[in-house]
Amino acid sequence: MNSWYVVLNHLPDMLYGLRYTFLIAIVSLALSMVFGGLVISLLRSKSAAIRAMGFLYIQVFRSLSPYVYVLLVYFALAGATGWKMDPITAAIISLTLLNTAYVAEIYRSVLLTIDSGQWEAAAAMGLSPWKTNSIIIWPQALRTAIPLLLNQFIVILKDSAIVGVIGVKDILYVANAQASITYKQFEYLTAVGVIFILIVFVLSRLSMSLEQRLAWKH
Amino acid sequence: MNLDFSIILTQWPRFLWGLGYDLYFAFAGFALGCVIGFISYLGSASRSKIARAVSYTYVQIVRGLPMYLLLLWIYFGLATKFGLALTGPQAIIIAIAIMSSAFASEIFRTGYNSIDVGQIEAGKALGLSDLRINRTILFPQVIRVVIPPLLNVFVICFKAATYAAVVAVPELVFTAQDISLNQYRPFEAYISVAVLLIATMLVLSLLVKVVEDRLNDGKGA
Repeated sequence: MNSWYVVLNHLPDMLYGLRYTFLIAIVSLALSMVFGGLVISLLRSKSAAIRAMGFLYIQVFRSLSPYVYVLLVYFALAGATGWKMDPITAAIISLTLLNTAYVAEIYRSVLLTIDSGQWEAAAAMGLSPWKTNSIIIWPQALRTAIPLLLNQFIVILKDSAIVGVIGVKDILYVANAQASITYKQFEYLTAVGVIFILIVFVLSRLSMSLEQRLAWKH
Repeated sequence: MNLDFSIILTQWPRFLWGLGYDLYFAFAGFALGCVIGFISYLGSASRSKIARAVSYTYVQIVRGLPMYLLLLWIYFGLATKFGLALTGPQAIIIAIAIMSSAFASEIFRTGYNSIDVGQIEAGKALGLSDLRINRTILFPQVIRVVIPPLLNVFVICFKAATYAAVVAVPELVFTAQDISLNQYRPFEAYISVAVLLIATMLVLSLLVKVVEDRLNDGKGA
């Protein structure tokens, strides 16, 4: 039983590391929501070339694991451009690049749920495309998208566990560092696992109840 | 900055082996994951409350774990606590299997739910045993429904296979790390690996699309 006390002593340090996990996940999701909107507007363009660009972006950026992106951004991009970025910036850039593609897919699927009659009605009322989007289409689309975006947030949160490989002192990094001094990998990693499982469980419950509360009543 | 891809070209057999490793881990982990996922589905559909609770807990736990953490736990955690020293390939295959089993379990569940209850009732009316109903009536239909989503899980497994670099298996990402450290060519190494992985993913997703279309054709006829 003694070995678990050691973990308990370091629990505050590990929980403190969670702030990076959340910081990276929240900033990445927020940026992905903005850039995802850009990618979806590429996909809805009238020009076939621009649509192809949007499609290519999604294909390419969905193809690799977050691990490869983190390495690519931190070592390859930094090496090639000479930009000395700090690990947290690199983590946010890579998770944003990756999740922009997934968020664009979420937007695409929720826009499909909106009846084409809405666009026609807006056009009949003489609304500009900007107004149609900002006051009619997107408020509805985002409402449907909220539970899906929360699910994506869970995915980002889990993916962000990898940022320790480039030296971000997140929860897993702190636990690993302690574990390699004490050789208590099992205890430390189990503790981190339990924390992740609890966070994911609570968030997915939240997402499920949001889904029910925000569902359109017909 | 001057790029020099000649080092990458001279090392091409290592890249090919690396890709082979990644595909092998994805395939072995996926196959094992489907089996575990099916067992987990059987638990969730069982009449026994305990089996349902165990299966539910298992899926919740696996869904909550990051892949990287799961791999470290299997590779380092089990070795330090129980002396169960798995090799890198064993650890990554087990990690992929566990991760994909949660997906597979849910996919089997939706697959079975998509079948009309009337078919089970008809089977019972004919006096068939539960096992026989499952084997001759339900399973052949379920397998058609679950193949496209399961293939998407295979694609996820392939992406996850690159984590094997963490446990020092000479797969693609590890090869890139090695070349970037020893030849000081990080950009060329990582870009080449990324291009190889993206190309493989494109081929895999095209294959998924072809299989999906063929299954849909069969349904229409």
